[in-house]
Amino acid sequence: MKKFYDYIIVGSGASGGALSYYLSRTGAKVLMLEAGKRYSSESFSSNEMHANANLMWGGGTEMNTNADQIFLRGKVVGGGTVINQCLLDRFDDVAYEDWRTQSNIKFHKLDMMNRHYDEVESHLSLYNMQKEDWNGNAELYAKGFDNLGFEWSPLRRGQANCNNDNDCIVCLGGCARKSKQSTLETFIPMAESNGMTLVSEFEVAEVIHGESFVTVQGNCKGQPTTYYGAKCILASGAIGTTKLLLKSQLQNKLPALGENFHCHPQWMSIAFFDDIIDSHKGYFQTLKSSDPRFRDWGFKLENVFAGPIAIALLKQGYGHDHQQFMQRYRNMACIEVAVRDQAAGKITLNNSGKVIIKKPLSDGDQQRANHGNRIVKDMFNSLGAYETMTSPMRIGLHLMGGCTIGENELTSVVNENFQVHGMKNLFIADSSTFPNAPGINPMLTILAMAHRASESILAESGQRTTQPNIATKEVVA
Amino acid sequence: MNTKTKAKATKKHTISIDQITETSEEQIIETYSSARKAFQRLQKVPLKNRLEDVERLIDYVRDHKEEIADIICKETRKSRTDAMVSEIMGVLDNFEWLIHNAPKILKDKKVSTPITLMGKKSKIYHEPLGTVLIIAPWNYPFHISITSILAAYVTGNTVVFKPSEVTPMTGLMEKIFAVAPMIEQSVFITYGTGTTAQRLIDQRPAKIFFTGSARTGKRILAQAAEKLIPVDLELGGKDQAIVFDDVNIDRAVAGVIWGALTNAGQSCSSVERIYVQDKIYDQFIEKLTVEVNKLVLNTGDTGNADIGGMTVDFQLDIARKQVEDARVKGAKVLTGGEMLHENEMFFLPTILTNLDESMDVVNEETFGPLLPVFKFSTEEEVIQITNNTQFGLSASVWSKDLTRADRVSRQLECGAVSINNVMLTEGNPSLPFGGCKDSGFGRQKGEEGLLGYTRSKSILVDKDSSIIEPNWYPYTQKKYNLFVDLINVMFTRSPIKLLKLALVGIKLDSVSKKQR
Ligand SMILES: Cc1cc2nc3c(=O)[nH]c(=O)nc-3n(C[C@H](O)[C@H](O)[C@H](O)COP(=O)(O)OP(=O)(O)OC[C@H]3O[C@@H](n4cnc5c(N)ncnc54)[C@H](O)[C@@H]3O)c2cc1C
Repeated sequence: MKKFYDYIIVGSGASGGALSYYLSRTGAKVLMLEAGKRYSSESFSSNEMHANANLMWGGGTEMNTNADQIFLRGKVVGGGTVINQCLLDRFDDVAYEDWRTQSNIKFHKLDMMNRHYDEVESHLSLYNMQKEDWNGNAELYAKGFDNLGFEWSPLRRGQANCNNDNDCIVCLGGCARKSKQSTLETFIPMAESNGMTLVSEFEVAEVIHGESFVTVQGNCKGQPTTYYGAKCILASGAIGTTKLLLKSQLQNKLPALGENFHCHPQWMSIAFFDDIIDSHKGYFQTLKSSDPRFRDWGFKLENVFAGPIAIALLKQGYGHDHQQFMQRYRNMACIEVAVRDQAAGKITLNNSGKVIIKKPLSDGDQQRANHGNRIVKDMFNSLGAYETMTSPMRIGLHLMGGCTIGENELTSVVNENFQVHGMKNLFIADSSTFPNAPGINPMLTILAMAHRASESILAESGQRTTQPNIATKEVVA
Repeated sequence: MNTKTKAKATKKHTISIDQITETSEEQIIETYSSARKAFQRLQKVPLKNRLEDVERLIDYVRDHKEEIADIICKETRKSRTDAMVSEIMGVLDNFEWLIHNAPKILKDKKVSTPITLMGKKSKIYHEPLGTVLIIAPWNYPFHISITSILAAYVTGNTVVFKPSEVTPMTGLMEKIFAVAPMIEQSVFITYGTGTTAQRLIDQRPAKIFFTGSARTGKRILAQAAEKLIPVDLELGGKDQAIVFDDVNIDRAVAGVIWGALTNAGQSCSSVERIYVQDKIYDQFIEKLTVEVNKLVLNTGDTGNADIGGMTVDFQLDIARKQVEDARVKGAKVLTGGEMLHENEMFFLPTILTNLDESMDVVNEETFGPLLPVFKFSTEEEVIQITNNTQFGLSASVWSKDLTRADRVSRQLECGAVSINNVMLTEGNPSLPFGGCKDSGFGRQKGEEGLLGYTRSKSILVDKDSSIIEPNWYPYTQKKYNLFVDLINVMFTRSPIKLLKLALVGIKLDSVSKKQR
């Protein structure tokens, strides 16, 4: 009986982390399985190379079939929330409207989701960036927007008592100060104090849905191991969850499995200035493009930068040329175009069980990117940059879809109760359920959806859904 | 195997006996009367037509395999692959075999006629018994039931059939038989428990075919004895797997695991005792544990669960009690040893070592997912020890040396041996299935099995003529002397035996024509 749990959660990222808390606070026996290792704030490395190699799937080198799109996804306790920037935005009516059109799901509506946002935010420290937090890159960003007459506004980030020490970019490899509001620092410890069991370095290979429980089979540090859950919730991310269902050979039962994959493809543009900018210092992201015109045009402009290894990868060529480029790291400014991609990709497995991701750009997506990159170029020109470079490679950080939520069994994978169609004991509540690309940072909505899903799952199991006396964290605003 | 033990009515997943309606005596009398009338009709239906009905059934079962698997899994908690392969594919295999072999086997058979009966012809007719009673178990509720019913039908019998009350699959057989009206009119399905079974026996079926536990088997035999009804009994087993040290260990481990755990160990011919030669014992145990730990349990799956659940709670109790008893008496539990969860009818596959004679698991049938492993050193020893059991159903012998494997197989007291494989005699419809000792008697499957649903009628044909046989009256001293000569001549090894025989024959013929 030691192998049997009320709930097994596969994955410990945004979705899995939040679920583990909401399910365990009812007193249920919860097991969380995570393929990645468990680090603590002290054991994260500040070395960028190490972070990529140890905290990401494929060491941060997963690509689409055309090899022109790279995907980054976390493989660590805390998942993507450990390696992300933790910018936390609620979706807007536009995003939900477009979701509802496709999904027909009633709660895809901002005013129905607000209580879930309120709930998850009550457990997070949220911080609105201030003018004094700006670094050189942000100064240029704001000025560029002003020059061209676009509206910008401050970003909101999940962080607690950050005491910024001018090295913020390092926390993309795991926050050493227990500040960034990853699930590793928030929901997971709360769940553990409720008695949740977490097994890391356990890669689930297959889920077998049965009449009254789900068999979860995988490898724990190389040892084949099996657990059983009365209910099982997949929270392995868009690619992870889709892969798991494909590996479990459910494509015949779930015709929409693997469809509707989106990733908010991003193009970084680097501009060179004579002055030292030091974009890598301080809070390296503080502003966002809030002008409503961007929403209409289908892209965002991100005030962002990256570590030297990532920047080096953006520059093609070798030798002197490349050295010249990197020598000017401190003179670089950066703005990124993130496209709200319309063309859906598709996730499949090849014969050897490896994930194959088809993610083409439609003409429309390409036009959105070109439009954005043109504006960025104009901004940099208006600021006096002597050279600009747009990355030839696009990056996908917001991986979404593959197991779409919807009411139609032919075009979706889970129903409005987050239940996999035809499998009453199997649930999905992570980013794989997104019907299309919202064009907004997804993490907060994934947390909120996980809360909503926990209510459905608990109701399905006949358990109460709320608990009085929830310790709320102080909200820093 | 176990059938009619009453299930407790309280626990989750168990059926309440109160919910089962017995078939009344009046209904049963009527059933038999209809079945006997149907038998008169069926006798006029040629074998060819009956085999066409089997073809119809093949089509139906093939086209509805997923639905049938759904029902089997629901009633038994099998893993889906167990249901699809062992039950459905097994049934289709068996039906194919019937179509191709029944005509040959059931055909009138000419036999030789001795020289003393010169000029006459001898033959055997294989005739149906009449209305037979088939009582089926819950462990293979589809396979055992329908193959037995069809063997009876193809041989020309009408059938009264009672499924196990634990797995009645109500309505399924009726639906399947509806595709062949003659079968539909020849098979009478009666639901109920042991009480109904007793009433069914009271009506004197021509023969009873029972598959189930030894205990119930004995009760049936006792009741049948009163009425002199023949009975075939296919009862339980304590099958041994004997693994010699010259085998490919990986393969033997895989085979033994499947043999012990298929259908969650609820097969009459499950591997229930594993004997491993001392030289490879440690290595075998280690691999066995690793492989067993890879297995996954579930039911209601889509085909990817290895081991299903236990069908009845009393069987689960036996597994649990045997493990407990062994543990208390010093056995080691290498993996498993408990239920998956108190509310789920699943027992974890369990490896037991350090076993001795005092433990129930060594002597009694388990019918669950246990793998008790023993060590042996010599061939003689393992034959002697493994034969020392009340059961004798089947066994498996694993060795690269086929001469040795054959030698051992001949000395095992049981009804079937798979060499370097497991439970595979059952996979060949040509091979008879059945045991000895407490495992019962009579055979299913194969030529012998099919003929078990018939009685042979011997025919001798002579011509109409004026010839009076010498052994007819009158008896005279002369005739007597000639018969004495005949015996002497007939049973010598003389090279001129035939000549002598002819001489005596002529004399006898001429004497026969004379009056006293
Ligand atoms: C560099 C970067 C920056 C980002 N910045 C932001 C941001 O600022 N704001 C924002 O909203 N979003 C941001 N994101 C995106 C955000 O982090 C993700 O959308 C989010 O984490 C997805 O949550 P999830 O629960 O669906 O999956 P994940 O967080 O990816 O969690 C899935 C987990 O499941 C595990 N897993 C996968 N397969 C298996 C398996 N078979 N067995 C066991 N475990 C498995 C993975 O190892 C992983 O830990 C960023 C992402 C990146 C990479």
